[in-house]
Amino acid sequence: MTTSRPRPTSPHLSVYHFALSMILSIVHRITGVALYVGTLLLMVWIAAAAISPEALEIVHAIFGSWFGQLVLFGYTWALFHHLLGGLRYLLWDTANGMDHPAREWIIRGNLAGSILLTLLAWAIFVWF
Amino acid sequence: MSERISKANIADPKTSFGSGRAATRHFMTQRLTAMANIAFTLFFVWMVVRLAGAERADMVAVLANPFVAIVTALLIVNVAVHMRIGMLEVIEDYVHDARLNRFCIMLNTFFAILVAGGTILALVKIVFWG
Amino acid sequence: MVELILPKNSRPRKGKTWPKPEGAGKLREYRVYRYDPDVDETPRIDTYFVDTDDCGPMVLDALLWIKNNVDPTLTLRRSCREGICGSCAMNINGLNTLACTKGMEDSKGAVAVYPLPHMPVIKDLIPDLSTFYAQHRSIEPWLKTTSPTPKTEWLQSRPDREKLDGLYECILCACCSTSCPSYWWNGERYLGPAILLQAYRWLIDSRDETTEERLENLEDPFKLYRCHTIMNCAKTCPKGLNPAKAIAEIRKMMVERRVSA
Repeated sequence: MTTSRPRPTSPHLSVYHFALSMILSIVHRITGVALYVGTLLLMVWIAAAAISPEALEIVHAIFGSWFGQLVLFGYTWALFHHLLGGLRYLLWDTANGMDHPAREWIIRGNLAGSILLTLLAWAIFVWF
Repeated sequence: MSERISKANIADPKTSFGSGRAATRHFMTQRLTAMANIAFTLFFVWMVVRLAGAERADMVAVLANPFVAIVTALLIVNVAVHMRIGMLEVIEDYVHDARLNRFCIMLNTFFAILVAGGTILALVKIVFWG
Repeated sequence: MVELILPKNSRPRKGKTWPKPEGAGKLREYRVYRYDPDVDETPRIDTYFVDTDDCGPMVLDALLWIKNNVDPTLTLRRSCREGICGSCAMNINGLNTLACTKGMEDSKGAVAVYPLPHMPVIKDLIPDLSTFYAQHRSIEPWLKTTSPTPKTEWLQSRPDREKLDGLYECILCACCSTSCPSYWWNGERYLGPAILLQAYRWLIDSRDETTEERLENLEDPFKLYRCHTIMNCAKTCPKGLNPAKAIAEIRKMMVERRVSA
């Protein structure tokens, strides 16, 4: 042994190619964590309705503000993205659709589908 | 997890880094609750569309319906189980310090119980006392 | 906590730019990770210019050209130069692959060459694979039987033999394992895609009689269940294999075992 210095760790995140599959994997996790925190929104909403009309009005005011709407829009996308991502993983758990090129189409469909569903939901129920 | 990881115990087929049975159970529960969540999402979308911005009287009228109340309660329990296992995966992946790991896992369970419990309490109040 | 960025001693700095060869034809720029354990310095990225008119078509040819013509201290593993030994596995332009089967015409511009990601570096492009090999040892990669050994070979039907297709071809180059973020963050406890593919290869071998014991040893929150189907393994395998699929098959066996128990 010529050295007792600890060996360096070779570069990983800083050099590795960010494929869409890898990005969507981390996005699945991030949307999952967002939905985790987002369950508070549902709890607060129902709790406010249980407490009093005044409490519900405060919640409506917060959810209706531009910031609230932005969060709810993001929440909608997170929900649809995690839902479709979940379907993708359920399929892959059966060891189907994992080979090239099927898996690439499934990944693209996951992203496109979540954006489409979010826009569709807001267009139908909020904007028009 | 407290014992030192060495090349010798990495090479040993019998080495274990936690409960394998629990891991398989978590794996299965995560997939079962995921499948249930697909159906619950449809219900959730209906509920949000029906009740978004509704007056309290309207919300109480809808949520006090036993079917709606029970499905909503089941939804939040199912979601709580699913998100607890999901966050457990995240913690196991990233939080390596043994004490911090235990603390995060405890906090995670507490949060899941808080969300499910809080929502169910609110529903009970609406169903029985309006 | 997990370390998403490299520790101080591991961050590569800008290294030496070696002079362009004189009287050369077409030049190709190479940026190569260098680390010398005998000098108290952090890793560096050296820039070389390879005369592609004087050099074979593969990235390995270029690295050996550099070693022969520019800088003999450049250190790398290589042996068969035909994609069967797995020695020259490294990260080329962001993807793990074998330098000997990676054509340099597959990409444009400078070629970035790093060792396999998130591994202890012994020197230059040579990672320490001893943990990887210890993990391979742990899945007992050999035929284990209880019945008396036959006088001739252990026989296997054609359909049973076909179950090993897509698995036996693995050359243990470690490209897939070191492409996996789960392996980056938990590389000592998670077995990683390569070893799990090998584990599955013995699980479904019709001649092996210790499937139950193998499953019992694999059933672990870290050894097996750190896989989150990120798919980097399947995308990067230079032999076109699919470790993610093998892991999915193992988990199906785990679930079946629990449900039927």
